[in-house]
Amino acid sequence: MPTLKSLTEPSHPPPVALALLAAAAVAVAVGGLEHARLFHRGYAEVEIVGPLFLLNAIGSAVTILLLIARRTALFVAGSLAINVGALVSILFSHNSSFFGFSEGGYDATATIIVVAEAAAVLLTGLALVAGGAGAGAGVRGRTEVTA
Amino acid sequence: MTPVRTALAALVVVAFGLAIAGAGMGGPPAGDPAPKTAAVTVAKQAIARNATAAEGAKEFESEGCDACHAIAATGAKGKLGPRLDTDSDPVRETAGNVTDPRTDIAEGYEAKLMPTDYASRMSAEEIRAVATFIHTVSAAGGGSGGKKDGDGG
Repeated sequence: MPTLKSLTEPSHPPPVALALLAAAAVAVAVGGLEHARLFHRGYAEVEIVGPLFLLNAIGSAVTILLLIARRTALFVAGSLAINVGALVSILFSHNSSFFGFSEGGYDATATIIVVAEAAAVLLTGLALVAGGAGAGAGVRGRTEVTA
Repeated sequence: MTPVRTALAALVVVAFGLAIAGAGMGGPPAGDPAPKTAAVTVAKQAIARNATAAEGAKEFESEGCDACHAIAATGAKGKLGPRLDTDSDPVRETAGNVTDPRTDIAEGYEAKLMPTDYASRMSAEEIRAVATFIHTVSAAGGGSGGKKDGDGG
């Protein structure tokens, strides 16, 4: 059972997992940046949903920075939380309503976001299977190269 | 942190910082200007005098139309769709736009955003009330494009 301390320590996942995590980070970035763009394209005026778009962008940035800082377990948690949450939200808004807001279709931006979020979830899950989140304990104490 | 990771972190901070600040994001379509204060007051009085329009105003809010459309008289500030207090369409046409929103798209707005299921989740009377409300606001001068002698449906 990983402790909180081990989760927040820098980890060094296997190369395959690291590549998957990097690809997931790109997908997280696409989703986050598109949410920021939509926020300024009119969603800012939508109660609750608008601020959530902004929160998605901020959360995506923080999550990516966590991966850059080698906190892979936290990146995995953040990536899954943000993207699964956003996918469920968009499904609700298209099929019933989400905090009273409903949409009727998927324009180009919405399609990009859904594809990016689905890719982020898939890549993060694959990285998790490849040992992307649990490689910290085995390399504890390893000196970081700072060349 | 290695220089590569420092550079990556800086890139992420700058890219998201600009995006969150709205730099280069364009903003929503400009649309029509909001009506003047006096016109808004007249529109509010017109809604109060017309029971169907008043009912339509309630439906407009309860159906979430205000999230996407602006009507100054009710404080609706949505920007995803065009503002409606400048809509000069007759009631029948506006009601048609509610039930079939893909046929007549205002310039600069996204065609696919508005739900197409209002005909199934609202009664014909409710849709007509919403259309009457929009027409009443516009005709009362809530918008510069309002007709003074609309057909009333």
